[in-house]
Amino acid sequence: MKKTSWKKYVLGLVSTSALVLAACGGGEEATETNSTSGEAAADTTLQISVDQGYVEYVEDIKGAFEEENGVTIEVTERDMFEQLEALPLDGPSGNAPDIMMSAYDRMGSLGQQGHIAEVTLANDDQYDDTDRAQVTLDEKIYGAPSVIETLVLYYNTDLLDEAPTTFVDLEALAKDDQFAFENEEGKNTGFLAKWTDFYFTYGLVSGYGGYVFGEDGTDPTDIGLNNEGAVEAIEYATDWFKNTWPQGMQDVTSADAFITDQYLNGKVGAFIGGPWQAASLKDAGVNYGVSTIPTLNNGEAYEAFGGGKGWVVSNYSENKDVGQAWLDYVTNTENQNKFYDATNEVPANQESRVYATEKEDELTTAVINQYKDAQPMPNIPEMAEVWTGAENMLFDAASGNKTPQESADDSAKLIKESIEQKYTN
Amino acid sequence: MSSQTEPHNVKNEKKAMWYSSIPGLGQLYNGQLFKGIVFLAIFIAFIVEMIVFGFDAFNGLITLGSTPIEDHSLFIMIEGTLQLIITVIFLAFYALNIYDAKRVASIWNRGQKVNVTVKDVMWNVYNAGFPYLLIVPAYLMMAFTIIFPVLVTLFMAFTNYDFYHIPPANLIDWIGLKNFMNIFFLSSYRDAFTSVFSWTIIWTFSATTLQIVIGIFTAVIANQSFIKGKRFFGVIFLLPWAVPAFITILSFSNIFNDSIGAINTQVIPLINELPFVEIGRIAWKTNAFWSKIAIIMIQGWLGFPYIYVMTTSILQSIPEDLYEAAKIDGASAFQRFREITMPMVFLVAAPTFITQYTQNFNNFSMIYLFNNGGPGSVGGGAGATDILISWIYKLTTGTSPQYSMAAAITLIISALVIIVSLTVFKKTNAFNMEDA
Repeated sequence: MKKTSWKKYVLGLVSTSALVLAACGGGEEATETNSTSGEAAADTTLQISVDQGYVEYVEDIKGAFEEENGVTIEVTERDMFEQLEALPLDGPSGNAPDIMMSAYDRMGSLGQQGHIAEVTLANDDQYDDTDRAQVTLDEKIYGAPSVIETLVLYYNTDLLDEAPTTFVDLEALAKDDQFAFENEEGKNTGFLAKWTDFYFTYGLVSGYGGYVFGEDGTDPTDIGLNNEGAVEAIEYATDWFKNTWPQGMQDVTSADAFITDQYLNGKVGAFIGGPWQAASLKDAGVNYGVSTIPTLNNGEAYEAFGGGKGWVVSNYSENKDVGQAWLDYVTNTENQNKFYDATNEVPANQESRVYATEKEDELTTAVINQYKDAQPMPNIPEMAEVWTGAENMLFDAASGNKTPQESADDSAKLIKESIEQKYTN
Repeated sequence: MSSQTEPHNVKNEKKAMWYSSIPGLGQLYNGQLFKGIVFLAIFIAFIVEMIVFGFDAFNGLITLGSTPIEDHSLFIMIEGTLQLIITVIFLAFYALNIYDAKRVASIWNRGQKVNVTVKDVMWNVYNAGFPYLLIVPAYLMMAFTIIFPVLVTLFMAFTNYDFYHIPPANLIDWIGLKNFMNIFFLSSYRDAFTSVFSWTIIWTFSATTLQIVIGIFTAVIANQSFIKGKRFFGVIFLLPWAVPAFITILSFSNIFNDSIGAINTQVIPLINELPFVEIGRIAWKTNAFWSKIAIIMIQGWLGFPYIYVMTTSILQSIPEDLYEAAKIDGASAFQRFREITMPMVFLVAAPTFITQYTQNFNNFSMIYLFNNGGPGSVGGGAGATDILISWIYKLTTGTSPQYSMAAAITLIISALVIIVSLTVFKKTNAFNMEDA
């Protein structure tokens, strides 16, 4: 008896499933259609998502804009990178904000993939060519510049009377016994830079004549990371890694922490860092000065990547025109001045930069001056391959796995190959 | 209704089956009104569903959309997959309904009792099929929470879903086996895949074996009768397990720092105090070989308490008189361990040991948190200590994600894990749920 009946149960099982499914299927249909139409309310709301540090500023300035345009602005707080990661998924389902901020180097690929909308820049005399290049890809503008940042030199005012101005000064620091590293014989922490990270190395490479993608960072077939100048720069960096710095500086994951740790212990004379590091030094209560990065030994400036953030409009937004108006409003001189006062971050607007310089903040002045020598980071998607390929370029040379020339050649080849194999449409 | 005995009905089985090509009609022919109506209702519901949603979904699954922005290829693929599952369930129902028509007809012909009335059918379902009624929701959940995502991943591996083709601005297309070809033939992936894969195998084998060996060793030692303070040792050995691994790995990452880590600045100098020992500073995090050694050691430390606890409990169940007898026969301690303890432990714990291997095969957090897959790289975006799973992570995150490539590698990983686990499980009879 048992043998014959199981099939009957399976039948029951399957038909019940089918019934339940049929019931569910009907329900699903209904919910799908009305989720997207929840956007169009009678009174337009503009959703703006910003980092925690900017919420107050946006709340502060939004009143005038709301009155002028007859919209309500909702500010949500979310980490910028998180928000950008989520946009491709949230956008199509109608859950993405209308306005966000984006780092310059993400705008290119986001724009190309169609996640952020093309915009126009309000008045041209606010920006120079570098600023425009930051937000432009293939002649299309994808954002309004808001913040600029580039690397600067931090130095310990307790130990140094004045900021080092040339790399010769830095080399002298590294011979000073007060900065000798006690755990490793003959090593010194007078000057440190996270040169395993290509973001930090680029200024050096570029100063010696290396480049990433051709003259203006848009030609992915022309990689200049293994030309004569670049190799010379890598040799110079390798010399620091091998003969001056402790082994821990080669550790890509913890070099940052190592530098900060040593600085707080008063064992570092000067180090290259980003403006975002100032806050933690301030919190730690140590004295520091900020200046531009010293001149290289060949007399050239340290041409670090210029980066920063701008305002972007989601391509999924239903109020792109209002979004455009917000971009124009938030980046005008008055609001950029307010922005500087509120966040102490260097505004992209040229007129506001003058305003910020007048405030005589050391960090601000250093960033603005350094930015004159900065190069816009290439924003074509191929740049992603450079980060992975070049990160190991320095590591391999520094750790002695390869000679600088080999290391540069291998990296350039890897970047070239990756681009050829992954970026062929 | 009084249950009167039906007159002897002769039903043509073939006919019943043909009728049932439209579900329900065969049942009606067999005089089972209620069943027939239910089956017919299911059939009609399916037809309606096909017209409203199904045909588009299937069509979408083949084309994956035609106009960017309007068509979101990924959603289209997901809808198609859903439709696929629904259709498979319906086809199973369809086959069974034909079979049912035949079966009931043959029952008629044999002159046995057929459930005709609603009450009888329901009663039969309740009586005989009650357990199945309870299982149905679980099965449905399984279909949509396990099979469905797996299918989507499977499909994804055969598309060109990467940063150039991110919906809705761009469409995704089927590209067949190209991703798998790329893994094996494109230089940037091939070199990476072989070196990452071989390291993954080495890592899985060494780290897991290490933790199992340490676990069994400590358990056997701590369980010897002459050991004093077993409680105390028990607690000590459990500590690595009690601290969240996430935090442990991060702090180990600092402890192993080449220049200011405790291992190089304190532990090694302390060891060097011993006569005739002279170890230099070791490049734990800046040399690929030492990085691998460090990761394996840390995993041994993190993983052994679990094995220790399990072995300890197994040891409690080994009868003491076995050892007594062995002693009288003059077996040495090592022989006793090899001939009695080991077989007993493995008999019970073999499946658990296997799961430990599979777990380490995909031990993402250990690799990612310790050194982010570094130091240095082996091409293809993979670091020197990256295992397959952390390489996939690197492929799918960042500014130029390659989801389809990651899906392809995921399939390869899953196939490997499944094959290895199944073989070993079969070998160790872990799934023989019979009484020994």
